Amino acid sequence: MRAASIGLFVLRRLAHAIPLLLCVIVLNYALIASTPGDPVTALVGDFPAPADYKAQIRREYGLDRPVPVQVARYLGRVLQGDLGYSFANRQTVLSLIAGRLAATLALTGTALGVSALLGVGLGVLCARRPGGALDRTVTGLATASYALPEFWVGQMLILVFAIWLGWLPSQGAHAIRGAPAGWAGIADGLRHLLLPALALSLRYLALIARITRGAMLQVLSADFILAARARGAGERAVLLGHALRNAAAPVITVIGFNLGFILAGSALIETVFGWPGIGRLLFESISSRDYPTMMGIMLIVSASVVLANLATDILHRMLDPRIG
Amino acid sequence: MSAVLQVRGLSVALANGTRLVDDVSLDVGAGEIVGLVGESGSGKSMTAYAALGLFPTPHARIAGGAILLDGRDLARLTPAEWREVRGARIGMVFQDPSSFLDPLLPVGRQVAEALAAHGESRGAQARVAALLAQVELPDGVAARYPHELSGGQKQRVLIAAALAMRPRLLIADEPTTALDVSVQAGILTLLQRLRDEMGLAVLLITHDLGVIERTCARVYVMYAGQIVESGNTAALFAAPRHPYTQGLMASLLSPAVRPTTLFSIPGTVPPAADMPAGCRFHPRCPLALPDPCAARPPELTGEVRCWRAEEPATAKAWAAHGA
Amino acid sequence: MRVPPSVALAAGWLALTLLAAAFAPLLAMDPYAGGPDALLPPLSPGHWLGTDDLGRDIFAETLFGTRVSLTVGVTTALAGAVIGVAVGATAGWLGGVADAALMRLTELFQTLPRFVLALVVIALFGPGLVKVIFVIAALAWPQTARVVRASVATLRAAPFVDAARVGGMPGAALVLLEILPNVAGPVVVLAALDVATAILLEAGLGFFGLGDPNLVSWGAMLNEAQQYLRGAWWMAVFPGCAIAVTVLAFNRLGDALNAASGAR
Repeated sequence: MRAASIGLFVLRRLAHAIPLLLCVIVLNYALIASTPGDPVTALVGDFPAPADYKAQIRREYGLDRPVPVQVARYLGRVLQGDLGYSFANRQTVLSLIAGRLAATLALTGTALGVSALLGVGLGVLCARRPGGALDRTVTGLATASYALPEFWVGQMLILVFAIWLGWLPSQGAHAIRGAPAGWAGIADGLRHLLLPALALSLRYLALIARITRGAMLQVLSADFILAARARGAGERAVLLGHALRNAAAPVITVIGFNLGFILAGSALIETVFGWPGIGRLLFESISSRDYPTMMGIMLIVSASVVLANLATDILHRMLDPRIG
Repeated sequence: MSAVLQVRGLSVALANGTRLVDDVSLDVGAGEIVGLVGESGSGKSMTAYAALGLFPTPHARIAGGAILLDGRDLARLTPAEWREVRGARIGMVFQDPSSFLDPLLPVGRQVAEALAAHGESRGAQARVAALLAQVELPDGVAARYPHELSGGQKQRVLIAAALAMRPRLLIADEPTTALDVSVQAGILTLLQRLRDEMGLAVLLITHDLGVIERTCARVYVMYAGQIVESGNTAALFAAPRHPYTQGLMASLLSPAVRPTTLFSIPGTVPPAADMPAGCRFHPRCPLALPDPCAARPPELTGEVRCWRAEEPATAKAWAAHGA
Repeated sequence: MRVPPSVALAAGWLALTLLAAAFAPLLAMDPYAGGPDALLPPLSPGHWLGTDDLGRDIFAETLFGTRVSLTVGVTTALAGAVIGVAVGATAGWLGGVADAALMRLTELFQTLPRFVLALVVIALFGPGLVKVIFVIAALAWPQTARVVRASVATLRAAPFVDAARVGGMPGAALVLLEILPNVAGPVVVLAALDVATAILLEAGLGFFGLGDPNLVSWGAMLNEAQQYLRGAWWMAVFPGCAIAVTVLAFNRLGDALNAASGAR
């Protein structure tokens, strides 16, 4: 019974998300088509490609046909996984992005995990004793951290930990002379991951801590918390069993819908730390005017946000049975 | 009848010293429903919260007196001891079941909450089923969420949850106020049945005199933080002695009492921070005298707190107002 | 009315940046003038915050950087507020199909990743201050639109609106004069926070080398600082601090406005 109603909800949200996804793809093409100069450049990149290749592109994308045809063709190609070809890297855009995906996932996944767990934990602890020493410290630090540009934090971390103290490496995902195997390899990877993940997660952590604290405080003043205490429930049962569960919904919503933060931040952080991920690829493709790759990344990132929002909606529904 | 709850001289005050409950004493015995009636602002709910050591605001605290549960003074308990008492020796039912149930948990788990809190989760499922049956709810209800139930059903769930550990005392704070009139009778009947089946001592707090008349053997009338009259319900309804009680009775919209005109006590309940000198009711009382009513606060003598209680005119205090 | 010290500090800092932006040429030397004294550390004679790799004075650059940051921040926040109010009020007032369509549009714009989109647009269409303002503002309005729409839709059914309508006030005037003043509070709060976000976005664009090449900006300074972290830490520290404190000040102001309007 419950599974069926959740299933229906998922279908409804999918029906909502798919047109959005299509709109994103169309918007992407709108940008390509409205580039000043020859639209072929946007599809090939600023590269001395052979003339017959350019003519082929012109034909395949229907650049001499009416706009709706162009949109349809582009849509068709994207949905089949064809995001174009990157001359600068001599690969299809899709395979290029796929190759860098793991590095970015490692970085953003770690940052996300750290900020979510630590942020919620700190938020709960602050809500336990509002106005107390921990609360004031954390809230103050969170407010300050939220104002720091993450790429600058990255630079400062490099300055302190890599340059002045020499404890941690400042560039790349592994040691330059090739990653060692086994546990040493993992340790090496983690050493390289630490600073960029920290820089990336700081703002997000601050946001989550503040939101969790606010949501918890609001829930803790609710009547059913009093009722639970009247039944003899202790602090832990009240905080975690009742308050956190009720506060989770708005917190997860904020976490999910701000995923764009982390994605944007990863572009900057990967550039600061020379991390071989999609963010750095974006920077490279902008510098080398490799437009197909750039637009491909834009598309992937936008689609990821749509999917993340969908996942957040569904998670929200699973937590709160009142949502229709 | 053995007294389960004995409140002696209880006072509840805010952090700034304002007294919300002033020197209140009452008894509730096993197997009886005792009413505590008063308007909003009379301090009746605060008295109930004091008995649980649990106030909805962090600024209120017990400022004096004793709360004896089976002879043990609750006012002196440590927080750990309080947690043992709450839910196990005293159960509480609240006014609006919609807001007093966690919307994200199935009601069965909330009924079992007291069991889990006191370390008796083994066999909880069977106990929950038995409790739900006792409050006349079908078994499938345990898996439902609060928003799937009606007001009356939710209130029965709250009652079941309060009785999970078989407490000696049940405090019901306005249990029917938020419910439809047609549903109220069912809840009251249920409370009476539980009183008989379990020998429960019930303190029923309400502003509704009709509820008192229907269910309570004895009643205490509260005004501005103090008990102003108490006694056997039938006797009190037949011949109320305090002018305030008489005014309350006269406000009842019953054809037998008020065939034509409407009556209400003139004036308003004084705020806790700004109590009148002398008798707290004197600014609104038709029989108030400058001395002693406005000058010295009366004591509770023979169940009435009024300087002029013994005078014959007091029996018809509102006669001049047409009551 | 008692002002918390942090709010006073924030307001003070913002006033300082405003003055710095307005009177920059009078307060510091020419930030574009390089010289032979490259990579001088702070507290060097004549350059109390040091110089960069081309001999430009860091203090002058930081001071002039306020111009770009404040311009971008304030104009995008204003534009975002205006667009947001327009879209939100229309959607909330008209309801029905128009409302649904506008909200779908809002959702689309809210979904697009702001920074990546800004990067792409600037990369495709070329750098320039106006383009930067345009692209940041184009993504700043959805949140305001949502809030305004919710308020307008709720207030549409309020008694005082009915009273005005019965009194013969036309629809548009009703919305403008009766309803929108009630929405001013949240809009102002969001605008203050938007300024902070815009400054961070612009800094990010500058860091990627996509800011206006003719103007000094803190982001671009950090771009240059990246190569010289090892040798010249002052190139990164001072512009970054400037960004951080300015953003913090706008955030603090936004929070204070939020608390003030909520208390009412």
